[in-house]
Amino acid sequence: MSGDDSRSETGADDRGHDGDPPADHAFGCRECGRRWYYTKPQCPDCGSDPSAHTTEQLGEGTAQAVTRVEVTPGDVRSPNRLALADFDGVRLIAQVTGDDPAAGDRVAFAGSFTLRGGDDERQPRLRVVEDGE
Amino acid sequence: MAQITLPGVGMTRFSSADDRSLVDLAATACRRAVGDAGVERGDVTSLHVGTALAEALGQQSGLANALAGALGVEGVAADRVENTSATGATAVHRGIEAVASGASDVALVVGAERMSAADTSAVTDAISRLTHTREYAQGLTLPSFGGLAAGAYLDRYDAPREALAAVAAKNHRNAVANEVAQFRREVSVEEALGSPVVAEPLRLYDCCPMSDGAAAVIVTRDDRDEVGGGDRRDSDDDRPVRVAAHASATGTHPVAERPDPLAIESVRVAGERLFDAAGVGPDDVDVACIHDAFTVLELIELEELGFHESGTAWRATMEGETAMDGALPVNPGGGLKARGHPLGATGVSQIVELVWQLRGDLPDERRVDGATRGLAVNVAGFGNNSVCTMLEA
Repeated sequence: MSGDDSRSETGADDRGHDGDPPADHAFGCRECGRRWYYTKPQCPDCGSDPSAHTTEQLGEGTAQAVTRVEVTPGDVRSPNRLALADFDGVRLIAQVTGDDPAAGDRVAFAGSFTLRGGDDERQPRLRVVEDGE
Repeated sequence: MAQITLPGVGMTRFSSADDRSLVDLAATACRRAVGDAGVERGDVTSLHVGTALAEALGQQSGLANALAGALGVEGVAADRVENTSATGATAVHRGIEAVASGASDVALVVGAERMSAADTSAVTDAISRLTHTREYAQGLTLPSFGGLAAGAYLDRYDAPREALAAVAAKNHRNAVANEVAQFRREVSVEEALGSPVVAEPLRLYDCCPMSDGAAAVIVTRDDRDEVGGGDRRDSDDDRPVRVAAHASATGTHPVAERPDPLAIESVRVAGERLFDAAGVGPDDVDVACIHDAFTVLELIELEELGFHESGTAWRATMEGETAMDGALPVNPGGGLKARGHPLGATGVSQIVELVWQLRGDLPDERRVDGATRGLAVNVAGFGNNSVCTMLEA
């Protein structure tokens, strides 16, 4: 299952290698409230199974580190601009679109892009949130 | 308690392309280690074979069994160890544990890789597959993590790019006299700074190469202290290098899950376990082999292991403290940067280098004078798993 942005819950059957939610979604645990980004078979805190997990769209985060990768795998565009960003404790590394971010900049997911060749799904990328937006 | 000793080591020269098959490379290193130890191949009771990418790059499957046949040691216990770029050190640890438990008397450990077997993009993809699926989806490679960490390091500690280049220049300088190094050529700080960008701010000379090669070590027990007492002890000069401690630790799988992009907890935890087990501290170490897959990793790992305070290893490097004549020589054989990084072989080659250093049987220009204790850290992924070993003369 993939590409369903309206999905708010992930049952156990939805998950697995091809079951990652859209790039701008994080997981949450209804049992303990823990939030995380990287798909896991159980809650990293309380161990609850995926039937207790929700997904939620991420809002604004803060870039902690950035890089511009010039040497990329064959199916990934070059350069591949990346930011490590923190969304209220949910940390992730994602591709960047628009202006180059700097550490400390506010960032949010936006747009619709193919992240790497062979993917049939278009995903949002991080962009810098301008002051006053 | 019986001591675990390393009476023999051997390796092939690391290179960007070796025509020999993976089995031949491994067998060559094994024969050299067996010969160096002065044992007969018939003495070997277990074979511990590390290779990370053999199948992914279309090389020999079942390498441990193929190698047992190639070496003519059929009958030994044999298996394959895999731990991505820390495969080699993990194989050494399995050999140590086999001998320590009594399951094996003479363990032959070998790490081998032939990365020239596929084109660069195929190798890069095979390595990138060690990431989480949501990391892979973003096109992340190992240098991507290195670029993010290097940028954060320079930013937080107000360090110049020359600090990264200084690591590369030092390790290339060390490799010039190392006959088994892939790159036996000096690289200046200026040359490193001027090389093409791989992942800003990392440049080509901040990154280890892809390599072919194999390294092997014999692991056995020295029971003489138990059964004989002082009279049966050889002089210290004649005793083989011994394993003082070994320890490893896993870290988060996704790199972004770490609270601090400049913390590699697996290195810190494995290092603490190692020092605790050995009963010594960082000041007691005379020489270190650090997993410098990227220059910034050498700096971060030196800090995580307690050799330098956080944010200071760059300055220590620029001031020569990690050079051959410094307070703690780091990567005297050239490190991953210049000796090369055939994934499965690297961790074993670090042990080979430490044994050579602690025995002192190296040319003057590449010997750490009087070294009696050495540490190696071999890291899987960008800190998914860190594998530390301490040796003593």
